[in-house]
Amino acid sequence: MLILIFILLLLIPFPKLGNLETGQLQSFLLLSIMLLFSFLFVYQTMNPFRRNKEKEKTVSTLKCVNCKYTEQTEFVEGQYIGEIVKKCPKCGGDVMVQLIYVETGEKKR
Amino acid sequence: MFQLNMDQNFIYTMIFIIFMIIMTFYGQKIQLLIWIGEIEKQLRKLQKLSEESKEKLAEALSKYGRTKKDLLKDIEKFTKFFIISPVDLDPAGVLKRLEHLLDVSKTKMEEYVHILAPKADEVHSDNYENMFEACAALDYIYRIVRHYLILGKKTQSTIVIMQIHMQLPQIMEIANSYFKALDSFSKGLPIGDGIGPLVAFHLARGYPYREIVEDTVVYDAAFKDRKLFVIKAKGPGGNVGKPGEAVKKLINEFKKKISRVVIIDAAAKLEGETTGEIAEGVGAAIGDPGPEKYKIEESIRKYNIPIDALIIKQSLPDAITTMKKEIAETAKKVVDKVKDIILSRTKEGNIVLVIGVGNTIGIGQ
Ligand SMILES: [Zn+2]
Repeated sequence: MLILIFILLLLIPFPKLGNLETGQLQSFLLLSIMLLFSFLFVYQTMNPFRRNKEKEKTVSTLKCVNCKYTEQTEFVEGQYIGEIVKKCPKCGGDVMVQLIYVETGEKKR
Repeated sequence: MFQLNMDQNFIYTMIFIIFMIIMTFYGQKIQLLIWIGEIEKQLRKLQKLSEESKEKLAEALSKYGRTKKDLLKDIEKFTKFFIISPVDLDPAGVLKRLEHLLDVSKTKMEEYVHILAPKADEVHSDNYENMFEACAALDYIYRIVRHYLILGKKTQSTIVIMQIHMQLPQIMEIANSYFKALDSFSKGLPIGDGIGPLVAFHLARGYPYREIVEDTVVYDAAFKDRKLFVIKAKGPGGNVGKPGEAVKKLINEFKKKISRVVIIDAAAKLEGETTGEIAEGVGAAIGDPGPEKYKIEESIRKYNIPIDALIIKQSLPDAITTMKKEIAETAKKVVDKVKDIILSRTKEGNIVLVIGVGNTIGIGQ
């Protein structure tokens, strides 16, 4: 693909070669070479492996074992699903970590 | 059309013709050079990932007394670890031999971690084993890509270079996710592959459990007058346990009294499928190298027990990095589905086996 564009770019000035002044031809050639290199540059820097870095947040969902009390907090290192974190403020039962997951804040465009 | 004024345009025409000649005869060579350049760039990135991963591991392990430099030397040595798969020319008992090798390699990993961090507790040791495996994987990817690049350069083989170049995006994606997985492992966060154990946990939470085989627990649960045995790896350390061995033991104990087996696992999704999609099928949904799968299949065949498989679709990067919201939220749905299956396909008084397959890191009992 690269080579095809290479050749196409060079073909632009070619049919007109005979009708042009030397200066114009020069600028045509220059233009095509510049286009070529800018294309190459974009092609090289365009990194298919780089991704938009999204903001990631690790969330722990806590839930009371006895009642319907739930809470979402930020994950603290050492926490695990099934761990009893604290007492329920509503009924005094055990509050357990239900889920831990990562939330990606999607960028709005 | 081509009425060239030789005086004026001779030099430009010549330049053009020379260019055409170069492109015709050396175009492929130039292409090859471009590809090699790109591969080298990514290879440097892979090397960086591999080195950084080892440093991360050393950093985490340095809490236990040894210096980082000292640790790095040992890690470097241990990541060259390999397993030679058993000979399959004589297939009789090949799975038993494979299982033995896997057991030995697991013990060896444990030994390595013990050498690196003698005072780490069980949960952390398990997580470090996982980190270590990710490091070894990154190291291996780096060495493989380097091998083919050097091979391609040496032989000037377009095919070899082209193949790596074409596969690079996937390779880099895998390498990046292994690198990302390190963070999840070091913090003890649940990963996408842990959906099986997560479902088992939500299904049987609160019921008594015991460690039936090493690193594997079974809950004595109940649901609508059915007795449930729920199997998962022992958490919250990074374990996959031996679900096959546990199933074998339980089935040998209860024989035909077990009327159904339901197995839950994460499975690779195809591009275009939604992450967290639930699919239902039949068979031992377990992605181990063979021994555990064999034990499940053999045990249920022996007593003619039907098996239902539920898989939760996700990509490889999703499976080894911190669990995504989409996946975590399916846990409840899968629990409901399992209950549905039990209600509709078993009778009161039956015994049902439910197996949550996967790495249970970050998921306790
Ligand atoms: Zn409560």
